[in-house]
Amino acid sequence: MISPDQFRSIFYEVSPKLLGYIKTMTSDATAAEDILQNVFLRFVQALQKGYEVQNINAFLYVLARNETFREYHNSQPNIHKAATSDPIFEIADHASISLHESLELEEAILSLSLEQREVLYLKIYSGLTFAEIAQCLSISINTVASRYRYAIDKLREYLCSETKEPHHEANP
Amino acid sequence: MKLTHEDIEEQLRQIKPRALSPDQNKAIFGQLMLELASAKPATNAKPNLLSYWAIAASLLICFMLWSQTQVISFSTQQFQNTAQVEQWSEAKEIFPEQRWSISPRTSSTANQNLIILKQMDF
Repeated sequence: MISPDQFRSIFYEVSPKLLGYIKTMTSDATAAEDILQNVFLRFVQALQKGYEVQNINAFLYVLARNETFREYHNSQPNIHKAATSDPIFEIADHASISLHESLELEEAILSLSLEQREVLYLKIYSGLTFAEIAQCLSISINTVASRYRYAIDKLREYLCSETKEPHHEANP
Repeated sequence: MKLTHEDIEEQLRQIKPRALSPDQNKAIFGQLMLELASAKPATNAKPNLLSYWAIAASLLICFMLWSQTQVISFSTQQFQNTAQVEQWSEAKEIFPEQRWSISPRTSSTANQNLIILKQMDF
C-alpha cells in the first residue's frame, strides 16, 4: 500500500499524460476527466485488495485503457468522431508551428482509428518503446509497429491533402 | 515536397497534450480524494473460485490418504492375526495338552514355542 503523499505525487506526475491519452482516445475533455478519476479510484482499490503493482505507469495506462474502452462500449458509440471543440493538444515549448497548423495536426490525429491513435500517442507523447506498448496493450511488437507505420502514413496523406502539395496535382 | 516519416514525427513533436491548469488539477484531485473517502474500505481479499476448488481438492486428497492408511492398517492387522492363528493352531496340534489362549500378548511366546518345537523335530 502507498502513503497519501506517494499517491499525491503519482497523481500529479502521471495524470497530465494519462489525461492526454484519454482525451486523445475519447475526443471529449469532460468524459476524459471522469475516466481519469475512475482510473485512480480503481488503482487505489487494487492496492487495497493487495494487488502488487510492479510498474505503476504501465498499470495506470492499462487501467485508463480499460476504463476508456468500457466507457466507449457502454455509452459513447461515436467516440471516433471529434466531439469536442476544446483543443486536446497545444503548441509545445520551443515549437515553430502556428496555432492553425497545430489544430490541423490535432484534426489529423483524431482522424486516425482508435488503435492507431493509441499507439501513436503512447509512442510520441508518452515516450514508450514498441515493446512497452506491446506489453501494455497485450499485442505483439509487430502489430504495434505496423499500427504506428499505418498511423504515420495516414497522417502524411491527411496533411498532404490539406496543404494541397504540388506533387498531388502536377502529374505530367 | 513530400513529407517523410521523420518529418511527420517532427511535426507531431511540435504539439503536446494540453495540460490542465493547477486549479483544474487540484479540483480533480480534491474530487478524487472525496470519492476515495466516501468509498467503502475494501475488505480482505476473498478467495476466488479457484481457491475454493483448491481447498476442496486438498480436503479430498487428505480424506483419501487417511482412508488408505486405515485400509492398510486393517489389512496388516488381519494378516498378523491370520498368521498368529495358524501358528497357534500348528502349535496346539503338536502340544495338545498345553493350555493355549488366543491372545496377541501370547503370540510371541507361541511363536517361540513353535520354533523350539520345530528345532527339536517333533
